[in-house]
Amino acid sequence: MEEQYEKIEGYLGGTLSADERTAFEAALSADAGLRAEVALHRQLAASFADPGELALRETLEELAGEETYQATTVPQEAAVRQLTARRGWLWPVLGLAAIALGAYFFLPAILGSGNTLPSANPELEAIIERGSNPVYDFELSASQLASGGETQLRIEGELFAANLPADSSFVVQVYSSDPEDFPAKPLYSTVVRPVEDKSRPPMGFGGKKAFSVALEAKAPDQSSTYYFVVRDKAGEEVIYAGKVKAQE
Amino acid sequence: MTATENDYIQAILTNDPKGLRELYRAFLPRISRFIQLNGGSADDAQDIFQDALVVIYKKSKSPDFILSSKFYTLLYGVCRNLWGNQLQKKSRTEVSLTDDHKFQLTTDISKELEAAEEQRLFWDAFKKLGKDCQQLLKLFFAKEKMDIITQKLNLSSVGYAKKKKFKCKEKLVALIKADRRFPELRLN
Repeated sequence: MEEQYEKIEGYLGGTLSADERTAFEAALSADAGLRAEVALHRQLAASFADPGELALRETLEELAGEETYQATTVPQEAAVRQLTARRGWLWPVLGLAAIALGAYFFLPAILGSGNTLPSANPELEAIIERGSNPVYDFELSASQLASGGETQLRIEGELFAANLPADSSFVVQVYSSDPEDFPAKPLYSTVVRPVEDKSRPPMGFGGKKAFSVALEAKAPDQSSTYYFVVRDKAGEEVIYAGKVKAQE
Repeated sequence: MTATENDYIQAILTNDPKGLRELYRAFLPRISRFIQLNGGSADDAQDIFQDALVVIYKKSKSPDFILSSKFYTLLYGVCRNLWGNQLQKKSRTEVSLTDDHKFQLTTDISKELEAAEEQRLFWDAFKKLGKDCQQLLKLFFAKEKMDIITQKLNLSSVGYAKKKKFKCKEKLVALIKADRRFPELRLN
């Protein structure tokens, strides 16, 4: 095997003698398996040829592992802990746990419209299906975070709006999947104030600006589907809805 | 283009962790949402996002590259293509992706896209190797001579370095061949 690798590398690198080369080419034309092997080695050499590209991959792996895309928020209620304060203890703990278990506690989440989660609340499903609001275009994603027997829902993302008056706020509520609970019995309700993301140029139709939204809420257990809704300041009109379920 | 737009390209080209972190923060949530609305997981989104940045890295290294659109437009377009190709493979029927943005990709990235899938497979295998193998193979693939590699990695002899290089590469090849995506790879 080692000899074969040497031959293949020599052939690809053009370092075989004329005789060796002729012999190798004869073997190649007779042996499809060898041709496939040579192709693989050639592609490997091409893929890993640029050290800069590998270095970039390594940096990106690290960034992905550290959950870099922390959104900023200004929580309005004491129940919502600021992410920055949270990060202090949580991320190192998660990091260690991840090394220990070989997996993050983050349970992949699915949300939003057009997915295949079981529908539990037809009314909210309809709102999810309706999609984004033309004026307040929310794009939020949610994940369930389990740590120390507690489950937190983490809802974050962006609001795109052309014109958002200063001090604009929205009400975010979390509901169980029980249709009876909506709209009277939210599990959790808070006010969020989106923060303009000035680092990003206006984009999309009508030069909408980006605002960050993020919050965390306690949830009873991690095996359930939860809905979250965004309402206007007065807590009336539902502007956006999504859902999140822990994956087994 | 404004400075900010090209700053993203610079962050990629110079492998600047601070700029790249900003790029994750600014764009990953949107990309992740798009992927998850189209049958993918958050992990799929991470992979596609990384692959897209590598595609953009390769493209922007060519001397004639200019950012002819907003950075996000380029990024989104690349991600969309990468994810579309992956879905296409899975389904074997025509795939249509939901999106509410009409992004037009003005940069030709067909060549880079083509290589992206096998590079993802190769990279996933490479990541599973031990650090010592990764180091050695990086130098080997960068076409360092074996005696230089022996020196750099403080190995006992060139013979040992060669042996180790073979072992590492053999492991890499085995990992690649064991991957369920391997049979679909068209190597040529």
